[in-house]
Parts: sequence; structure tokens; C-alpha cells
Amino acid sequence: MFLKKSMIRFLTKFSVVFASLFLLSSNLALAAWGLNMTQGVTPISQDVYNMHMTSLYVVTIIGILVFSVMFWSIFQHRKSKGVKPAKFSHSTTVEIIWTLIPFAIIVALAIPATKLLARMDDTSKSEITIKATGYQWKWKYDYIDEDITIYSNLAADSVDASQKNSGIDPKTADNYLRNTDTALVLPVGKKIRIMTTASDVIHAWWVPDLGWKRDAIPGFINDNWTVINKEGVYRGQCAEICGKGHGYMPIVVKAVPEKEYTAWVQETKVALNSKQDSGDKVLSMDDLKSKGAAVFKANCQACHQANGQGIKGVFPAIDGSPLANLKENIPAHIHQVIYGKGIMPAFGEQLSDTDIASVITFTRNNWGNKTGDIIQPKDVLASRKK
Amino acid sequence: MSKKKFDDSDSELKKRNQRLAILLGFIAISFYVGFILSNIK
Amino acid sequence: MYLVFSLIMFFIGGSMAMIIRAELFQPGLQFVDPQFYNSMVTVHALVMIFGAVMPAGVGLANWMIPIMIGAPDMALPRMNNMSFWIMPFAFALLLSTLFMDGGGPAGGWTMYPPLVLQTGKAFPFLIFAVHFLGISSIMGAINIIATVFNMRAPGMTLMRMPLFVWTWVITAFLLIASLPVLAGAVTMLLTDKYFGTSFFSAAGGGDPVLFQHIFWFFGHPEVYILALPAFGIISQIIPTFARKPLFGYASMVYATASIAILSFFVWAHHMFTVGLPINGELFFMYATMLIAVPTGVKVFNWIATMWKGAMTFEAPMLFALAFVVLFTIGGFSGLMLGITPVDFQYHDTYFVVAHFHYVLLTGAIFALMASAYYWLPKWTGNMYDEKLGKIHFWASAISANVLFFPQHFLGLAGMPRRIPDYSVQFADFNMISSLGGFAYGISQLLFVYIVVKCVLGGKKATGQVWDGARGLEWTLSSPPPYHSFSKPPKVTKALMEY
Repeated sequence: MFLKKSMIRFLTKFSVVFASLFLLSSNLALAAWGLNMTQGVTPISQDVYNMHMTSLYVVTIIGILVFSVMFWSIFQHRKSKGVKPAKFSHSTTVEIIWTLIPFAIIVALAIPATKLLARMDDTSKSEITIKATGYQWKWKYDYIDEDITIYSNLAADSVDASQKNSGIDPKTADNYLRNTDTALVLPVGKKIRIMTTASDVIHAWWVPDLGWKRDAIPGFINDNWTVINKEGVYRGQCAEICGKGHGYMPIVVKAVPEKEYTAWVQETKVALNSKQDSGDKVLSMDDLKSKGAAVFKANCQACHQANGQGIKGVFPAIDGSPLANLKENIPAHIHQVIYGKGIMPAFGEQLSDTDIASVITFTRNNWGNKTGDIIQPKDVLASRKK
Repeated sequence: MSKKKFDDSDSELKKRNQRLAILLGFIAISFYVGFILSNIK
Repeated sequence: MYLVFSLIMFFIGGSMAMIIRAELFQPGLQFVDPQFYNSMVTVHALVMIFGAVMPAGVGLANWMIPIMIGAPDMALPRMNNMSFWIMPFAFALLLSTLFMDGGGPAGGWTMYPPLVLQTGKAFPFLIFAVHFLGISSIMGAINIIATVFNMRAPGMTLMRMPLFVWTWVITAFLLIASLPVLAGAVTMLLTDKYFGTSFFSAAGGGDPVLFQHIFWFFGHPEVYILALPAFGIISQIIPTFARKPLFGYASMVYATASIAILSFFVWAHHMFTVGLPINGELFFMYATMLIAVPTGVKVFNWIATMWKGAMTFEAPMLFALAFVVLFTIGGFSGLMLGITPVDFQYHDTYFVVAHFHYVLLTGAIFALMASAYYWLPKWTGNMYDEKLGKIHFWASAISANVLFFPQHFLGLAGMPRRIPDYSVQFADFNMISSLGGFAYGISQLLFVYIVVKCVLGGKKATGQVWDGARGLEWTLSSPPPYHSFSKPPKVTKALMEY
């Protein structure tokens, strides 16, 4: 009649596991430690949270019952206690009972789940429609009714800190890897339809506080909806592996009161228009290079690398490449940036003429490339017209 | 069903094993070809 | 040979996992590039599934099934040989890609197009490696079916076969039905990339989601190909050490069969977020939840087997008990994942990573460890070092939980899977998880030491080995003779009884 040391250890470990399960179940203040699912800020996310907790309680209770029986048996029915093994080997009644009980539990879980799913599926009567398009590696948002298109890249301080052995403490970057240069601005209290699609590979649009994620698939448009109840900034990430920048395409939703939203729409429209007019400006080499460096970091660096060397076999080097060095290749260079080539996306629709002109100037006059070529926005515009 | 005696030169058993293997292999290959063909548009 | 190969692969795959956990130890990028990280994630999965767990299962089957059913050897020895030698070749193909320009495949082991089509020179190597592995597994499966159907000893009726044999027969049918589908899917990928077809390219009128349907039609049965042999092993070990017959033998067989059949109707639960029609999502949700019923029956039966037994706790039994507890935890999170509306939150997060590692590592691999300790004395004729075996168990069980339990929290808090770097809010649990990972990795080296020590010598084992063991394999000497049963034994009911 003694407990083996090993059994005590087993029990300790077991209780640790279960203690943590219990901690998980009691959502008292622990949500703040990032232990549990967020309750979110929409009616659906609240329902999803409740469903999650229900199923968690159910499995925890089953777990406690089943494992207590098992451990009772482990402690009582051991040879060292001198028990003689029983001989029974089946009991149809018992077996039928423990087939039916799980079945009943599952039916009980499936009913609310079915109702919730039907509610999530209903995108009718939405007031605002957004189309979110995944690119490698950024998101494009089209406000369908407002004729606004914005691109949302990883914020610059996160880009710097996320370089290999950058020496920058990720804690110093604002919301490291979960912050963007431009946020998706949405009004609170309105039913918003969010369509997801992609231009190159499959991505997934996920903001945990909205209570769902949905794949963004090239050639498909998926329908979703949300009503955000609370003002605030909500963060998420791409959730489907989409290549080397998969961990670096965050999503930021900024929920603002309706008035503020209307004002933002007006402002953004004005800003977007002025951007398009930049075509006839003439810029200095230094201006182009400094602007180009920023554009390069946001758009090109993920593939072609900060040192312009690319990655052998996948992403070609710009440093020393004929395309970025020979004079006669200038038109081809501009053309490739605008229209893309192979897996390189077409940047023509994402970047303004000034952006493209500066980034090309930058790449032709950086690293070992010392061409002295200056590309002006009008050169880009000319190439677009062809 | 089960054989009474095992022998390395038990040709009847060998034949039966081979027949079963060929049958199963054929099923696998037809799944493979069938799946591809059914997805050609 | 299969077993040695799979142990080597276990360590290759494991060292990739170590690289992954080292990178995730802290936020920020310290050791590897994101592209290389992705290829680690991809190749780790392929190596562990096709290189470690599956060959280990086939190896056990090849060794134990003939002995368990009273046959001299497997039915088709030449095919068996071929099926084995394809594997090192296939893995040479796969692993060589890591040293090529452009690196190894980095689109995840699920190989979803269009991303996988961006793979560099590694692409055809990946595809052919998968083809070869598929052929090898199918040949192994055919061999097992032929052996069990044609070579049973007189009196070894189907319903007297040990459960390990049953689970393997069912697994073999799953392999034959599902692997050709995978081969078909990757062939279509190949023609898409090189021959201008567009099965999966939206631009050419194809359908990228089609691949996911086909892949998971293979992929879900594959999960049970890994898990069912584990169920079989546990069903051998628990009665032995409880000194009591397996409770509900018939219902175990039926439960295994129904899990296998159901596994062909749940594939879309891996793709709830791709935007299926609601009726489809409901169907797959119900089917998925239904699998919990036969799985539950198995767990209840195992516990009923222990009930009123006379248990002792040698290393195989410890691993088997841990399997029951931890696999059940993995099953619980599986049930939660099966609830579609909530899966929209869980999908592709660390919650899923935790789930399938509970099922595959503390499930399948723990069962394989248990089987190794259980049968090592039979194979080598020597007892392994029980004390070291126990240390190995406790080190593995504790570190595996430290490794994977916090990942539940990470997933719920919003950390997606397959990312090389993460926001600082996830830092603490990632660090704990990494520490658990390193501890787990180191404790597996102990296993190699124990096995080598046991092969080289040790206390001689009797034919019976474990006093509670029943079945034909224990009637032979340890180690068994070259042709295990040259004269077919007479199998009677009494042989299995207590």
C-alpha cells in the first residue's frame, strides 16, 4: 500500500495540465493575459466566444469525468495492491450507453452551432461594401460605393525591426508586426459587407475581434459581414501561408463614429486625386532617391532584399543586373515595374507615377548600381500610355 | 480460407497472393487515373 | 529496417522542429530567413508524416503481423523490399531540394496552389518524392492485405485477430483508396506548372479550391492512417499490463471501421474558411462531430479494460496511458475545431498546431514509443533498461505538454500558424513552448541510447516477456526464428484468454 514516486509525478503533471485547463475556462481577467479567445466587438464575435466557451466547458467536464475514472482505476486496480484481475470482457448494455451519450452531447452542441452559422452566412441588408484583396504581401481595400482604393503595408518601424538580426528590439516598434501604414477605416454601428479575394496566391483575412476569418482566393470572391459596436483599433494578420512575407501582412481596422468616417472618406478622395496629378512634376535626384528608398522598403524589399541581391533561384538581384544598369533598358525597367513579370506583381495600379519614378531612380543609383539615370514621373506616365 | 501448411514453394498460395496484389494495385491505379480524368475540363 | 529508417527521419524532422522553435524563441528574426523558415515548416511536416510515422507503422506491421497471425513471413517479400528501398530514394530527392537555388518547397506540406507553383527548382523533386512515397506506401498496404487475407494460421478467424492486425488491415484499405488521389492531385500540379494546363489556375478557368478538396480527400484519411495503427498498438498493450482481456473487442473493430469510413466524409472541415455553401459546411460539421462517437467508444473501452485489472506500470504501459489521456485532449480540441462557426476563429492558428501535435506526437508517436518498448525484448531477446525507459517516458510526457499546451493559448490569442516572427504579445508562451521543445528533443536522444543498449545486450528475455501478454507472438522464442512459423500453429480460443 504505497504510492510509487512515479505515480505521484504523473498525478502532479496531470493536475498541472488540468489546472491550466481550468484557468482557461475561468475567463476572470485572464483574457488580458492572452490566454483565451477574444470576446470581440461585434454581436457575432460575442456569439462565437460563447459557443467556444460552451464547447470548452463540455469537453472539460467530460475530460474530468473520464480521467477521474481512469485514475481511480490506475490507483486502485494495481497489481502491487494484490488485486486479482477480473475476467469480464464486454457488456453490450454499457457499450450501447456510451455510444448514445456522446451522440446526444454532439447533437446538443450542433444545434446552436447550426443557428450561429446561419446568422453568420446572411450578408443581406449591408450598408457599406468593402473589397479586401490580398497581394504578396499587402492588402488592398476598395470602398466599392465611394470609389476609394487604399493599400495597406506593414508599418515602416516593424519592417526595420523585423530584418534578420536587425539589432532593434521588437518591443520598440509600435505594435510590432501588427501595424500598417494605412488602416481600413470603418464606421461603427453599420452593417458592413467585406468581400475577400486575392490577386496572386491564397491569403486569409482575419481580425480576431470581428469573430471570423475568411480565405482570400484568386478568382473567387467570398462574402462576409460585420457590425462593429465599439470604436477602436482592431488588429489581425494574414492567416494562410502565402510565401515568405506571410508573417508580415497585418490588418488594422480603425472603427470610428459615422461622422468621422464621412469626413475621412472626403479627405481620402481629395488626397487620392492630388496624388494622380503629380505626373508633370520634375524632381531632383536627391528627392527621388529618398522617396524611392521608402517605396522600395514598403514594396520591393521583401523579395529583392535590402541589399538588392534578391534570393538566388527565386528573386533576381537588382544590384548589378543589366535591367537596372544599361541605358537602353530604361523603358523595359519602367515597363516591368508597371506591368510586372512572372511572379513579380504589376505595381502600376498600386503606385503613383512619382512613386514608380522614384523607386526606379533609387534602384539605378544604389548599391553597386551607379548609372546616374534620373527617371521623372512623366517618363512613367509615357510608358503607361503606350 | 486459411492454409494448413506453409512452404516456401507453395505455388498455389503464391499465386493467390499475386492475384490479390495485382487486383489491389489495379484498383489503386484506376483511382489515380480516374481522378485525373474526371477533373479534365 | 523500416524502423531504423523512420528513427533517422524522426531525428531529421525533429532537428527541423528545433530550428523552428529556436526561431520562435523570441520575437524578431534571429537565425533563418522567412523563406527558409517556411521550407522548414513544410519539410518538417513531410518528413515526419511520410518519413517517420508511416514507415514506423509499416515496419511494425511487417515485423509483427506475420507473427501475430501465425504466418512464416509477409506474403510478397520482393514487393516489400521494393517498397522499402523506394523510400530512402524519395527522401534523398526531397531533402536535396534544401540545398538547391531557391531553397526547398516552402508552401506548406499541403502544397496549395497557386503558392506551391512559385516553388523554384525544388518543385519537380517535391512532386516526384510524393509520388514515390505514395507508391511505396501502396505496395506496403497491398502486402499487408495479402498477408492477412491469405496467410492466417488455421483457427485464426478474423474476429480472433489481434486488434493491431485489424487496425492495420483497415489502414491498408485507407491507403489504397486515398493515396492515388494525392498522386493524382500532385500530377495535376505538375502539368499546371510545366505543361500549361490549368486545373487549379483561376486565370485559365481552373479552380484553386479544387486542389484543396482533392488534397483533403486524401488528407483526412491520412490522419487516420497515422492514428489507427496507434489505436491498435494501445489495444495490445493495455490488456497486457492490466492482465485482463480487451474490453469490447467487437465494438473496437466496428469503431475502427466506422472511423475509417467516416474519414472519407469529413475532408472539408479543413477548409471551412474557403467559403463553402452553408449546406456543405453544415454537412461536414455534423460528419466531423460524429467521428467523436466511435473515438469515444475506443477511449471508454480502454478505460474499461483497465477497470478491475491488476495493473503494473512498465514503460510501454506508461506511454500507453499517456497516449489515452493526451490523445483524448487532442480529440477534445478536435471536437471544438469541428464546430464550424467557432472554427472560423481557430482555423490556421496555433490552436490547430496544438491540436494536431497532441494527436500526432503525444498520440501516434507515443504509441510508437510504447510499441518499441513493448516489443523490443521480443525482437532482440534482451530486456531494455526499465529505469532509463521510465526516465525517457517522464521526460517526454512532461516536455511534450510544456511544448504544446501553451500553443492552445497562443492560437486563441490570435497567433496564426506558419509565421517566422510574431508580435511581442505572444512572446511569453512562445518562449515556454520553445523550452519544452528543446527538452523534448534532448530526451529523445535517450531513447536511441536505450535502444542501442538493448540491442547490444542486457538481461535475457523469455519468450513470454510480459506475464500478461497473450497472442501468438509470445509463444515464440525471443528473438523469433527467421521464418517465424514454419509449421502453422493451431489457434484456439484459449490462447487469447486470461
